[in-house]
Amino acid sequence: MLAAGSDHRAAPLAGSAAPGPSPAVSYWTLSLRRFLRHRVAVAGLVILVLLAAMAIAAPLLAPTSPTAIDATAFQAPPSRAHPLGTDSVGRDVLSRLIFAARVSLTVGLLAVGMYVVIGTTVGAVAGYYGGTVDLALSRLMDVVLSFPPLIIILFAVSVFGRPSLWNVILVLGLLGWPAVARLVRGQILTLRQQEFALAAHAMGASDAAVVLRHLLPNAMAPVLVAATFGTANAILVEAALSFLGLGVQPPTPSWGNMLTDAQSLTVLERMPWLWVPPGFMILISVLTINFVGDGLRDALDPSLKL
Amino acid sequence: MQRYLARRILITFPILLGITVVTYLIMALTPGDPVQMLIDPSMTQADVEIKRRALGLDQPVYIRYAKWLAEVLRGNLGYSISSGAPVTRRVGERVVPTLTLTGTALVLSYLIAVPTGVLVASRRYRSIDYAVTFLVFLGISLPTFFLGLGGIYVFGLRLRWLPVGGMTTLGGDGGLLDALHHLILPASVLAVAGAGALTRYVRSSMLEVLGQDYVRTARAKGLVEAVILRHHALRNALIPVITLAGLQLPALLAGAVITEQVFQWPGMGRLTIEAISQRDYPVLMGITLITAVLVALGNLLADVAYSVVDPRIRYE
Amino acid sequence: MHRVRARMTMAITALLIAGLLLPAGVWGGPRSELVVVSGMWSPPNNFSPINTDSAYGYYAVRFMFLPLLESRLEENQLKFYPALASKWEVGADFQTFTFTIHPRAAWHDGRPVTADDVLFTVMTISDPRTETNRGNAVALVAGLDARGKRPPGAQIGFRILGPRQFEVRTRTSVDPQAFLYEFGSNMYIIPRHVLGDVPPDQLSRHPFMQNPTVGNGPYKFVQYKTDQYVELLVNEHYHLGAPKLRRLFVRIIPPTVMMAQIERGDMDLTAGAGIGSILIDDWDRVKTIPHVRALSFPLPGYQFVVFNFQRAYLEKRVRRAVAHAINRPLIINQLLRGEAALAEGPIPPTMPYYHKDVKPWAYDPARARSLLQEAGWDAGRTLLLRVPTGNIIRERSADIIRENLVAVGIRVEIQKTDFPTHLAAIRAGNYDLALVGWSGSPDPDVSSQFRTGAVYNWLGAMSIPLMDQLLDEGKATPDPAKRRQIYNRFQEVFADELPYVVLYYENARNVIARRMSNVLHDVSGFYQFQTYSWVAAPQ
Repeated sequence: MLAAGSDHRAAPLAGSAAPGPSPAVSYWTLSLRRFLRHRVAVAGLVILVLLAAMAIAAPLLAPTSPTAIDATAFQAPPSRAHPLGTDSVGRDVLSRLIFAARVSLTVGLLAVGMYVVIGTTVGAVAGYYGGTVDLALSRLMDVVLSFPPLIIILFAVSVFGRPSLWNVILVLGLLGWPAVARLVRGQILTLRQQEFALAAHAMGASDAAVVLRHLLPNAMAPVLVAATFGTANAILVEAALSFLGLGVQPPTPSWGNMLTDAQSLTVLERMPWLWVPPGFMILISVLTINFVGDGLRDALDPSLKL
Repeated sequence: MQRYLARRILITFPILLGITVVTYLIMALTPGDPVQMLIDPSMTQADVEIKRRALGLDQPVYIRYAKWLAEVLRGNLGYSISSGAPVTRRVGERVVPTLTLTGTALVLSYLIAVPTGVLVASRRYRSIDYAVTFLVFLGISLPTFFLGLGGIYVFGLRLRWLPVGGMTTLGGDGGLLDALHHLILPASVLAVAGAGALTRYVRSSMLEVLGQDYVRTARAKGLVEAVILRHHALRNALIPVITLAGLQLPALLAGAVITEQVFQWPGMGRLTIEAISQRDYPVLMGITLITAVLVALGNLLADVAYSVVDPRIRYE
Repeated sequence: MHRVRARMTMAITALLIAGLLLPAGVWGGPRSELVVVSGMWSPPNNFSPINTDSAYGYYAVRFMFLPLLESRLEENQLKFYPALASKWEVGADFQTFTFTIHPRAAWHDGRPVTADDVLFTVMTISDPRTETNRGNAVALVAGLDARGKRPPGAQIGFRILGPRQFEVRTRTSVDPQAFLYEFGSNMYIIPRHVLGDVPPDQLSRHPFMQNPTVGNGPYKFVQYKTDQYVELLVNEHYHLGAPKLRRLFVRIIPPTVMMAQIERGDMDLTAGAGIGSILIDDWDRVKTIPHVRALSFPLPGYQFVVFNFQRAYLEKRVRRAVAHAINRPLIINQLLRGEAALAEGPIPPTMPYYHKDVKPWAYDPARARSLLQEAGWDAGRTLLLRVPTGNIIRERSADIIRENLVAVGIRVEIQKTDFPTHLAAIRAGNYDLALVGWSGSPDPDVSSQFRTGAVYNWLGAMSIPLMDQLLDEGKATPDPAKRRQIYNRFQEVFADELPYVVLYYENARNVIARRMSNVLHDVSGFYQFQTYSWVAAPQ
């Protein structure tokens, strides 16, 4: 096999040198242009904005209250009164679906945002400085990864007292970062030894500048994947957390807890209106986040040409 | 490297100790204990008090921890509160089924993910790329229990190809084929769930590498695309995959809670859930200890693997 | 090198794909002999006949160990039948009970079951060092304290009359039904010749409790594959006649997959109420499966809302308002599809002491609102309703209850937690309302829950002097006719005071394969000890 060490890699053009065809156009304008050329990413962004708008305007859009019980229709199929049918206690699935966007999008985006930021920071510091700093931070990651998460969550319930959305975000954020940190650290470990990083350093760039401008943009690919998958996961895990007493409590709907209600063969086979809509919403959200992420990475990383 | 390894291993011991202290404390502070939750009308008040004393729950946390630690240092992980069996046995009997399921699933998921990831990376933004992307996200947008249920419905009930639940046919003649037959469905569900994420990681880091100048140079030299992919790109795209493998080592033994639950697989994940729902502290501590060792080991192996794949990586 | 690896990869992939496509028949032959499989949701923790957890453990124990008597409910009357004992007599003083053990009753290793084994069982359960959950079985025996434990040096009311005959004396005169139920049918006899030398404080960790090879019931223990199944083999020498089915399995299986196994014909019976029954969502579906019978019948267990009596604002009128506000008919008819009954109290409608004249409070939101107004209810107050996970219907009912209470002007916040956290919070008094369930019993003595300071009184922590007085009287009265009057009065007081608002008495939803016959269930919805009479046709 070819030894990796003999490869020649050039520094990405970001930052110092003039990147584009015309020196008058800034890096950010160029990135924006590149992003806009990425049609799928733009479509993703539009859908994401629409979803967010739906969450904000839920009371205006939902046909009924998400908690109102229709005593005459339990697990009823779609009808004129209930376009997407009713759930196991006679509530309108469409209304719940719309309101659920609030909880699910908030949890998905904020929790993941939180642990990506923490994880990237810790991972970058550990990977860049190495030595004792790396040893200490890496062992901290080991410790967090070693705790039984369920016990931590049950403990958190007793500490927080009242359940709320923010507690879920906090718990997911605090438990999720080490995996991201390990990914970033692994990338930085190899990147920092490469010529472009050494060159930037030799040219007098500060540590922060080397990490932020040169290393992180090249290390972000796995982080974006982790983030998109983390979002789907957070949306589903939120439902599990509310089962343990953390997070949004009934009757507040979330896509995750709507799916959790569908745990039988009968529902799977004969009541698709109980699981297709929330599953579809999660799919759409994660897909769009993924496409936007792809677009962003391409736009910010000039070494990749479309 | 050797000094680094020695340091890494030495530092593991105080960390393990710290983890057990904190976990024990957190468990003690978590609401509910194994006796509190007994509400059995056939028990008298005296029965409840006797149990509390027998389990040492009438003593302060630090004494309980000290006793536990003293026993652990002598190689005794204690007795399960709920069953009375030794913790080593409770945990030990889960090892083989757990590794069978998670190991098969892991191998399957890499077999699916690495070729698929490489393929879609080289066909980026073509329809095959979008199709795979869509499938991957479809898989993760439904909870695992639902995928499992779907598998049971399709292969177990409609087509009747595969048995549902358990590891063997009850009263059957057993044998390897029977065991394998029971393994297919849970392992596939788990593999499909895991392969999705892995495919994306391989795809994205392949893309990253394919954009690098040395790959373009290789192309310019007229090398065949397959050779470029395999020799130049794949190896350099492995770093995140190694990290993930390191992170997956503890998960290998920790089991897959939901899949085990749905398919009635007697793995470590279910033991953990049972122990938590019964607040079986000794069993939980046993599991925590093993997890901590595996986390340390997995990450150590990943670090060693980094420097094998990329010899420029050095640890001081 | 690469080529070899690639070939291996291909070979493995091909094998796996082949595995998926092969029809099931190729993989394993048909079962070599007739086996019957019953399914329950969770694993037994151990097989201790005096200390296994909950109903899961006892379900398995009951195949291997017998009590002295078997209790059955026949036309609302509790009847007793022989199990280990073939004869029993009640003394005229309602205080001495004589039992004769069946002449052929034997342990699985061939040794006879003797009066000495029964004495050993009583001594073990009443020993203050033994971990057990059978204390109530012996709590009435003379010489033991009221909590069923033996003070040092005490003489207990147990006299051996012969190798297979003994007499038990109770502390005071008791209702024979109550004694025979607890002592006779709730205490599983353990072998002295196996466990006699084990120190009482070591019993719960003794390997026998994981591997109970010496039982006295119709089936012998073969093996327990953790979290998979319990395998049982016929006891050819069973004193009531050798069972007709040779091999039985108790499979541990979650409810969704249980349904799939039933549909496939992999499972013959569900274990029963609370430990293995059909999900309500699948109930209509299971009725359409041709090879099984879906059986529903009433059970003594009930679900309820308990009020925290430490909260002064949850006074009597407010509790009554809650009873009027909750749409219990909706819960029963829609959520439970009619498979449940309602009574305004803890004595099950199917049981001998049920008071028919006490009618449940009607669903009447207007009445609830006016009661709240009378009580001066503060509309700004939010009540904390605690809901445990693990019972889907109960979790769903919480959403209905909240909606109902909000409709009459009571603000409610739900907090759902796992069961241990739920109970810990209730013990700490950190709740206003909580959902819990009791399994119910044929005896009307419910003092352990409602008597001030009793063992389960922390659930609500109510202290209602009139109720205390009636419960004490009922316990001390041996005469069934007088007891009935006392418990009738108790039920009237209960409906008036409402320490609990009972939500429903859920029916059993069992499934039995049509190929099986002679399968009967007992008072609590479990199969009777007559497993030896089960018959199954080949599939």
